[in-house]
Amino acid sequence: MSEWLAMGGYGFYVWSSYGMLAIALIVELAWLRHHRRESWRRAAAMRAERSIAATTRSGGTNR
Amino acid sequence: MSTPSSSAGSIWFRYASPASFYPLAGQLIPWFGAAAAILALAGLYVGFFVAPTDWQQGEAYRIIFIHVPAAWMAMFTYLVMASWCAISLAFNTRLSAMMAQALAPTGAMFAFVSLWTGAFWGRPTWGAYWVWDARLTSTLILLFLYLGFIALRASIDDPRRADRAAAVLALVGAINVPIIYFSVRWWNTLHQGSSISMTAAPKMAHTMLTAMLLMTLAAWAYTIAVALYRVRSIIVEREALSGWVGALERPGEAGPTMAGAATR
Repeated sequence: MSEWLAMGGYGFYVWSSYGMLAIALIVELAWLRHHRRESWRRAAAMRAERSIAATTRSGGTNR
Repeated sequence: MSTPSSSAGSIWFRYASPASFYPLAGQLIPWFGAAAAILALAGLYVGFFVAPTDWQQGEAYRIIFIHVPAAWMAMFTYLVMASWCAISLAFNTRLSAMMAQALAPTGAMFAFVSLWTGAFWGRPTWGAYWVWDARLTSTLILLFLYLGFIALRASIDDPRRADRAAAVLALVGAINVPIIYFSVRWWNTLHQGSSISMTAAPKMAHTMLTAMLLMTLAAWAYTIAVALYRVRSIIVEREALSGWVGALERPGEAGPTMAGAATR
């Protein structure tokens, strides 16, 4: 096992490469989930803002 | 291509609207995600346990199984992104601009991974992590083009203007992709020539080639899954004020009955 991990003396280079790929994938997938949550939050905020704007506008014309 | 083109055309136009593309993308994500995982596991197995040690480079060559697929994916994703940009400029379609926006971060990730793995392969084989060689420099420019595309989009508030400005940048930058591809032929580079060519037999063992192709397919499936996932978030945000997004169920929150009642 440790012989396999040593990669014939190139272990540092091989695992630095594969390790960075793993980090890059984890970061991208975490960011992807965060982005989805943010987009739903922002979409809800935009709709709330619009409905407030609509009610204040109609309230204004009625008076 | 004469009779089926009309039906294919209507399907194409049906899914060109964000409202009908959103659920389709949602159905496709698990399939491409599972394909990416299975292909990557198979590729890693063949790459580490079946493919023989290289007679020249020893075990260091095993970096090829991620380096080459990442580099190919970075270049190919850029071409796909630039094509979506061209469609968005020509036909002023919203979804194509969103697809380009969804591909850019993944393309940047693969460009970065190809540079990083290249550095850690270059050190034991050439004696340097980095050289200002034509292939390395043009790949670095590719990474900067992706980052520039993302930054330019983010810097313009109006999404439609941001789409157009970013599309022009992406199209001008597309000239860099053939430069990367042919750099090892046009200039006397330190980077080795391609191991795989369209015209000649591959210069590597069959099992090595199998592992590399499995990893390449995994990268494709991953990119498609991630881009579809990201484009759904982009659609939710950019179409927030349209009725159909308001009627969608917010994921991971509220029960199914709450979704419709909350907005209507």
